[in-house]
Amino acid sequence: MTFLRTESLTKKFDGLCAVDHVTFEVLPGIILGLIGPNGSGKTTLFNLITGFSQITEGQVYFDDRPIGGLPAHTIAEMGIARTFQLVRVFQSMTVMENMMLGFKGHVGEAPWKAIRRGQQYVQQDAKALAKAYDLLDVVGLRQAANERAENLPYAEQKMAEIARTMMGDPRLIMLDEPASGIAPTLVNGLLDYIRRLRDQQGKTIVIIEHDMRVIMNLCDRIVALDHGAKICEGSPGEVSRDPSVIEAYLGGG
Amino acid sequence: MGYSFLLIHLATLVAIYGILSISLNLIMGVTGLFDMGHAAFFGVGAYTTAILMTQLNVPWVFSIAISCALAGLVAWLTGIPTLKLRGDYFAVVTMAVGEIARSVFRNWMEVTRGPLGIPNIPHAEFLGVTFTPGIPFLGLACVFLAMMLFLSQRLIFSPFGRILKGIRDDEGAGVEALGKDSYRHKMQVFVIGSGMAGLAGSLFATHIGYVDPSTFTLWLTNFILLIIILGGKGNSIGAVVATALFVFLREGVRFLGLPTSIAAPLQQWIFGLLLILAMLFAPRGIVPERTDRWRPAPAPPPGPSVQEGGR
Repeated sequence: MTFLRTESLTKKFDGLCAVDHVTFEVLPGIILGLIGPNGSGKTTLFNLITGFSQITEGQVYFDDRPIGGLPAHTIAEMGIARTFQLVRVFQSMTVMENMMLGFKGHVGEAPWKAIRRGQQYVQQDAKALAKAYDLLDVVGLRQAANERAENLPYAEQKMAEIARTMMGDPRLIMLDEPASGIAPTLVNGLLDYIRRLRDQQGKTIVIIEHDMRVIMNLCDRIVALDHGAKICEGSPGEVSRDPSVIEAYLGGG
Repeated sequence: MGYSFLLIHLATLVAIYGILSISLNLIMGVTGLFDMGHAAFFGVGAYTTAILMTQLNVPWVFSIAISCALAGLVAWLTGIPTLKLRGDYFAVVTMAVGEIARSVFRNWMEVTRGPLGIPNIPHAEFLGVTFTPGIPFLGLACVFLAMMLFLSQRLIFSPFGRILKGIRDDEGAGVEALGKDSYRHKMQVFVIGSGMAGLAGSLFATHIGYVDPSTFTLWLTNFILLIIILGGKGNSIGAVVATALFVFLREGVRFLGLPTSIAAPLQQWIFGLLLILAMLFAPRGIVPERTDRWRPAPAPPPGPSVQEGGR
């Protein structure tokens, strides 16, 4: 059984082919890096897999089930969580409200249960709260729990966003440039956190990142894109020596 | 005597419009859906009650319940095509729905009696008690206001409410990424809010005893919109406070003894001035939106917990 697999995944915008017949596979428990120059289709590929963009052609399989064409929330519900290139924490809400919103399957999401507040509601609330505090401890944001997200520095908002995706117990976490906009001194902490997700919790992670240093010492496997097409796949060592990757990045003919 | 009766009448209006403000606040203040046709649902509630009670002799309790349900049903039907639209398109379409409702009230002579309106709507009566205009009906309206306030607070400060605020903060994409169906939740709050508006409309019909199409216009929607912005978007209590302020201001101007040609524009002036003052000095409104607070964080566990991140 394959964990996540794309098959000839394609996205066309009018004449432009943003993602061009990309086929790759993600094995469970690894960190897979998605690299490529600007405009090579990395984020579009993310959007196709997570249902935020309509697939033109091809299919995505999660646990061998085709998920292409399902609405974004259904895919998220199945266990694929994502973050966005530009941070997407809810600005008017506190960090804790954001965290609580990441909790999945709360009965209080139905209005009548929210009004009634039965025993199950109270129990789930307590469970979500405890979990949120645990996750905030890990990223060092416990003290900021009751702070509105808009008042936090950008780096902390990014950490909160990643912590929030963890509230839903995802099996696959897709991070779109998590280190961008974060001070270099803080990046190591972030990378440690991502590694711990893999090593201690067995999460699978797909990460888009521009910083080669980050990618090379974090990822188990790398897929390189250029002009929407996959040009290379392999271990960090293999990819960094691949002539097509070097050319795409250094801009040959 | 005259003045106290007037005061009671105004207080009753505050309670009724308060419910209307709470309901639009759920839809617009909390969820960020720019509903410009809210007066239509108020009108559906008022007309339903008027017709049921005068023409079909339906008891009040059932009339108010049916009014509520029918407003919700109309909202559901409106929501199916419109709630998939982005913000500004939604505003345009709901505005059209408001206009359609108004012209139905005005032109469906056989049922609504058109511009003549429906007079002689009986008083609310329940378990043998008749809620005559004055203190009895004011009490009834206040009971409903309290109920709706309670309901809205429970909704806002719950997982359901947090999804709504999430939808407001970034057009739904963010909550979708967390596995929440934004369309479904928009629909739920739209139906609940509109049903609540229907309830307010029903109370309005029995309070005034007469309905005609001139009440349910875009003007009313704007009036409530203004109340929400001034009261504090997303805060139900703010909505009620601002309702009281506006209703008393609006009616107060009428009793200054000024000729209509001056009093009417003066009203608009005052509202405009208030809005500007609010934007300058209280951009979040008189009673700003409150975030949900949990009891102070339990003391952090000793030592770095990083290593035990849960395996």
